[in-house]
Amino acid sequence: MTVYDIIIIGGGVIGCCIARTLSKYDLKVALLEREADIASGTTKANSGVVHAGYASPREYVKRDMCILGNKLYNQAEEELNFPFQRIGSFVVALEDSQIKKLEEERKLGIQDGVPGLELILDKEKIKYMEPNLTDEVVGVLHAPSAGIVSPYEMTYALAENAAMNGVQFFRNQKVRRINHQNYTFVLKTKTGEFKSNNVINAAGVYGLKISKLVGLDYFKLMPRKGEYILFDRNAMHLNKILFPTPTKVSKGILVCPTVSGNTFVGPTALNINDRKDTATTEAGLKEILEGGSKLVPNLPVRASIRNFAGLRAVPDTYDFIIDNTDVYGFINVVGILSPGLTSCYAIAERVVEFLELLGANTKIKEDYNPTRPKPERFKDFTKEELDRKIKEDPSWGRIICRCETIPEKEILNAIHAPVGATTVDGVKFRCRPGMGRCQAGFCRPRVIEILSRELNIPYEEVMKRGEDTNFLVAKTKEIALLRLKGGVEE
Amino acid sequence: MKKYKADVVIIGAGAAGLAAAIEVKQADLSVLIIERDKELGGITLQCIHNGFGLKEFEEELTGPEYAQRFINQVKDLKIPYILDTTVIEITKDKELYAVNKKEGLIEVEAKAIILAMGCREKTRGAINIPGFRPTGIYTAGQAQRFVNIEGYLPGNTYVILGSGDIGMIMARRLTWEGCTVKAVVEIQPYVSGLLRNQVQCLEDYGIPLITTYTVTRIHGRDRIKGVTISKVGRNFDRIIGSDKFIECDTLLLSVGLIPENELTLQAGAELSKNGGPVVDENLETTIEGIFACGNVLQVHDLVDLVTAESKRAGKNAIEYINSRYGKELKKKEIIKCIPGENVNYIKPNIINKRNLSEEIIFTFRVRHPDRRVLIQFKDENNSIIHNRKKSYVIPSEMLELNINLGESGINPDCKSITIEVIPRPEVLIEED
Amino acid sequence: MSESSVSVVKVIRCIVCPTGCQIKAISKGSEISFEGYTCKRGLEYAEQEYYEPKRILTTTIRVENGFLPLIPVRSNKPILKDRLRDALNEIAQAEVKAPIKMGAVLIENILELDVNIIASRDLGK
Repeated sequence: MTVYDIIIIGGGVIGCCIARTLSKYDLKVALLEREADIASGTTKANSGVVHAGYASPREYVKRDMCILGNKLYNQAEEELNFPFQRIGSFVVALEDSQIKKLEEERKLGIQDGVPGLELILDKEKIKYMEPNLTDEVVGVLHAPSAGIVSPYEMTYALAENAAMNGVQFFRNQKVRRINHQNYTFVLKTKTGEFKSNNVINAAGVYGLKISKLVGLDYFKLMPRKGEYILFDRNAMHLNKILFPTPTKVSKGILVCPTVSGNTFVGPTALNINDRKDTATTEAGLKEILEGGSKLVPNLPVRASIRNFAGLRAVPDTYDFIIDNTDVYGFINVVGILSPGLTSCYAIAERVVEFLELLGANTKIKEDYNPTRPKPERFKDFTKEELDRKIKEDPSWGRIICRCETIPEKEILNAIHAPVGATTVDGVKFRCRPGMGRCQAGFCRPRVIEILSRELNIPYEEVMKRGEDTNFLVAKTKEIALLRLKGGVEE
Repeated sequence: MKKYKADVVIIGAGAAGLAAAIEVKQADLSVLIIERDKELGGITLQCIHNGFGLKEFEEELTGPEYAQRFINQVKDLKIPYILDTTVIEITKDKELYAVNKKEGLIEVEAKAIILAMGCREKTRGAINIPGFRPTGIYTAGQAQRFVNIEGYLPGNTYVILGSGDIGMIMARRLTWEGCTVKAVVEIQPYVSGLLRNQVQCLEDYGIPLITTYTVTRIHGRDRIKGVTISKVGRNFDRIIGSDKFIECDTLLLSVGLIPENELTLQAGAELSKNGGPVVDENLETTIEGIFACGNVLQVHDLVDLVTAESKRAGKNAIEYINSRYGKELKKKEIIKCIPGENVNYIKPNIINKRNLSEEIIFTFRVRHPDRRVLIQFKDENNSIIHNRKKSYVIPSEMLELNINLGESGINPDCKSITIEVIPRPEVLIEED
Repeated sequence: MSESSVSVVKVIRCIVCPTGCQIKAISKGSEISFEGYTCKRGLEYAEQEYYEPKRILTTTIRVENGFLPLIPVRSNKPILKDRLRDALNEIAQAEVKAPIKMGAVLIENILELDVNIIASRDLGK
């Protein structure tokens, strides 16, 4: 059995970012993900904001990691070709008493290297920069270095590049036990066994559970739910990320654009007990609309297309837990709450430092290729390119998703990429069918058909996102025939 | 790049597109139909129940039978059509681009375009039902496609939200396929669709119709396990304490239809509040030479009326090509049509003053049901131009009136007319 | 004069026109009379519904090697309501071969009811 140098537990943005960073070196690396696909947890349901870094208290590690991580996004985007837009953010003051706080954040932020922070009190200028903002605004803290990213598309890019450079990905592998003998870890899942010299715990909301498997429980993680409402792309266009003046508990309810041109409102911040509870609630959705309306008075509620929720793993320290632990070779990377997404590249660098201390060989591979090519998208082609592409490969010419104009070819690419899609959600999050206005009304049968064909499984076994999430239960007539056989009467 | 040329290009080969195409071909103009699905027929192909054609053919047909009549005519007339082809762009200058596997990028040159893309269903996200996002949630039409065309059943036990005809038809369809339908839940105090469907789809099978209730929560993380329904008050707010749980593994949503409008928007045509394009009495959009008919213009309940409307669109496209195409016309003088009391929307949205001496077909829907009403047309000075009595009106039944405004004595300087549906003032003798 | 027992046996909602009269079938001894209709068509409908309710059946039949896996079908005449389930079970077990023309009889004289199940559309291979 292969003994890996490093196994990463958790295929979210943190795990995949670490994997990609490690793929640079001459190391045998594997990543184990419990769900059917990577980017299934917190990574898939957050605000997608790359924060400027002024918001965290100075004594926290996450502040510096955020400021550094923000800067590293430029190089990452160039190499990995994921959607990222540095559009800038406003923290909005609706009362004069809030201006003082913003000015303080500005001052400290500038000192700590956050570029371009400025306090704008000219209402006309503010409204010119963001016309949708409420007229009640008295001033904003403008952070031009803040941006928006598609957190799951970036995670797929990280994983693809990692896989291209030799990292092995295993999905549907929930780690249940970890034995530690002679400096080797043996990780047992339901269907497999994996050996490694080092383990990195990047398991998100399950971080404490995994840590306990090696006897470490020196921290607490509380799941905190955040609900969101997403609006139709044509309903509203925002120029800036809009934050309210923050409270102690959270950054508040944002109104924020996405890289695909939609707008969302959220998140709420509710501490819960159940690590699996990603249900939205009546109260939560109401809170979102009330909070969001304070910043943008005419939220296009009638143009809602979806609501969803994600969980953050909030540590009792309220700061990142990135530890070279007392269990030799076991590194915890847990409690990565906001600004985790922004910090991921910086976090990965810190993990490399730990691994060097642990004696890992950090010699860069000769054939390391940092570039993951930009996925080809129908919408990016000129008419001449499109004609040529279809003649080369006709599956470019069969449009599956009308709302987002997605051809069959993009879906095939999503399925056949390294660490590719095996579920309907996997296809949806990689190339968008089902994210549009009709929410898969027309394309769902086609995506199921393509997955069935490419993966060679019957329609009834095509899943939304893993076990027990199949769409169809039987062929037409089968239920009637079963009842007939069983002699069941109405 | 493949190039097609036609006098009229029609987007969509459903009931609307087929009827318009036949009309154009019979006038000896060249026509091309572009359809994104793999056969002609549109949504009627999956509506396998009967009730179609009573007006158009004076027979009671199933959806596929209705479509087949037009498909046969299209083939007999040798009308050109391309399948598996999606229109990706229409410009303000009526340049049209489409793609398919065989021909690559297609450019179509046409003098007139008829939009007939139909409509889509409102989704769970559009009505913001909270809960997990399990599998087992479908719109009624989506489920209908799986059951009748793809050949698959989405689940075993169902709750249906919305008592529109699609929802009730599916209740019966699924029961006939051996599944169990637990209830049809309707937020209004009255059934949304036809009484006939309530009797033959629900009452015949003992499926309860629960009115003034709606689904307020979805249960089950991976697969739906059930729904909570709650009673609603006058403002559709949830009445505390009225929650009921219904176990099911599938939820069908029949909560409304909206016109498809990506291409309409792209072409730069103005959209009206009902979701379809702004049109004049000729069914012409605000882009000269682009017409709209069928569900893409306004959601219809009877396919027969779609056919009638689409024949008109075809005729008007023909007239446009023969008389106005390519000519610089001076600015149109128009009258705006405004929905008034108890009117949800009205088509046409604008009327050309030069056509005031012609009969104009108005179609509209009311916001809430009423009995013994007066349908009234007024100008901006509140002078009554025309009125008509009706014994009952309901939102689920589109209303159609043919009126010659000129003969009704409309003031030629009038700038807007409002259409309202009001309770009749007391009359001694009952008419109607 | 002896008193016969009078009771409402069934309430039928008429669907012939949107008025939707509630027609009561009343038994007086051994006779049935109808009340509540406002037109002749309503009375005819109520009588049919009471004595011999029938429905047009529309469903699908599985197709072997067709362009689609199912073909929509209808009964050419209404079928007795209480035989619908049997008819559906019979249809569920059937399978037909493409190509099929609209109107083709796919199941003749189903359940010996003198009703045929016919194709609702053309379907190629």
